[in-house]
Amino acid sequence: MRPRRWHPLIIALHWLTLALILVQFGLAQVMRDEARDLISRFTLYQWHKSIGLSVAALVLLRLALRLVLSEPQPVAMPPWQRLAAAGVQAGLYLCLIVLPLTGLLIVSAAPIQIPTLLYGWIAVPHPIGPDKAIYEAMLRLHEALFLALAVLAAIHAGAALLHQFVLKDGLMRRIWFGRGQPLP
Amino acid sequence: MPAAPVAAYTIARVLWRGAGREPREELSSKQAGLAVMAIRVLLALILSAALATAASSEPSGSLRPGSGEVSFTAKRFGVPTASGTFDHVDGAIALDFEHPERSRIRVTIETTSLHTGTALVDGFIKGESMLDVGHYPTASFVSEQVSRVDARSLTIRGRLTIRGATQAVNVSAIAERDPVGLRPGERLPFRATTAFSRNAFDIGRDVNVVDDQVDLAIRGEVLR
Repeated sequence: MRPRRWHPLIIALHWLTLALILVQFGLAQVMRDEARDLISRFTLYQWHKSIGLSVAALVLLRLALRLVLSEPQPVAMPPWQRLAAAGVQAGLYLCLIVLPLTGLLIVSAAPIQIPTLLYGWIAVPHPIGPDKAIYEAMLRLHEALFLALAVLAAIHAGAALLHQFVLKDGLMRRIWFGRGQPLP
Repeated sequence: MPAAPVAAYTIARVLWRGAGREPREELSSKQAGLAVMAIRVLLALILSAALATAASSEPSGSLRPGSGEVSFTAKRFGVPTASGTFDHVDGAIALDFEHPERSRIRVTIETTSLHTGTALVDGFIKGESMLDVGHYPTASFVSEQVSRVDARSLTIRGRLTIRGATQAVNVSAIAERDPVGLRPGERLPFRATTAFSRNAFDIGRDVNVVDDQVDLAIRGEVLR
């Protein structure tokens, strides 16, 4: 018999990822403030790079866990909704893996050469050297992917809230901790 | 110094014999060698005396080792956002406040001695796109024309070399004590300021985290 909820590890990773994305968005606003002193800006950039690459790693871990842990019982819904939900989730996964990679390419191709030190400790090698064309293309892609992520996340969250408050089918409980019966 | 009378005596003897006063006595090779040495000693004495006279009228000096410091400030939209200090600075400084045009200043800055407070910014500025200290371990300044502004201030026009590129800059220097009557061994603390364009030296082309103009503040002590 299938579990009623996602495995606690998956649930923890899901919400941790959301929290990290919000932190990333905040950092992105502050670190680009050009009137800020360079030392604090560089520190903020290092945090943004560290957290971004961590998000990609956590998403890959979550996908690997999904392969070995069983999924919860599906909630009854029309096939098109199931397909749409799966499509949005796949898009979110893709964004969360590719966004940090474009970030890594941005810092690699940037005219400013600053090492990437994960949490100030682990040096991440830059796959390419300075290249203005790649730098600018990746910068645009990074922003476009963020926009895509935001749109997909809005659909994902909107649908979840629809299930929670309009359809009242208890779908959201599958992604929250607890031992009780999630399904009515 | 006993060398002077000895030399004078030997030269007199050589000249005496050379003039044929003692024709039967040939000049031995040993004596000839002594004469050459004596002339050299005399010349050296005359030269050092001349140098001593010149030095008293044209004060020269050097940057007291360890006293030189060059700091930079970079701004973004007029707000200072980055600064750092080079503390390995050497210099030969001949300052003449009476005749400023005789002054000569040469300063060498070790670009590797930069510190900004964090390894990240140090690495960025020392890196290839900026100062490229691996290829250009020093920057230098050589004065071309020194003119006096007032009792303690000078304007120095000179050539600044960074990253192998040389550009003209104007430096304003202020002595922190009265430079007149400075005796050998005494120190003359000074401050100086200048600015340069990063683009002119190709420092960080496309790097837009700081403005093009970089301000420099120099301080040190001239040792007479």
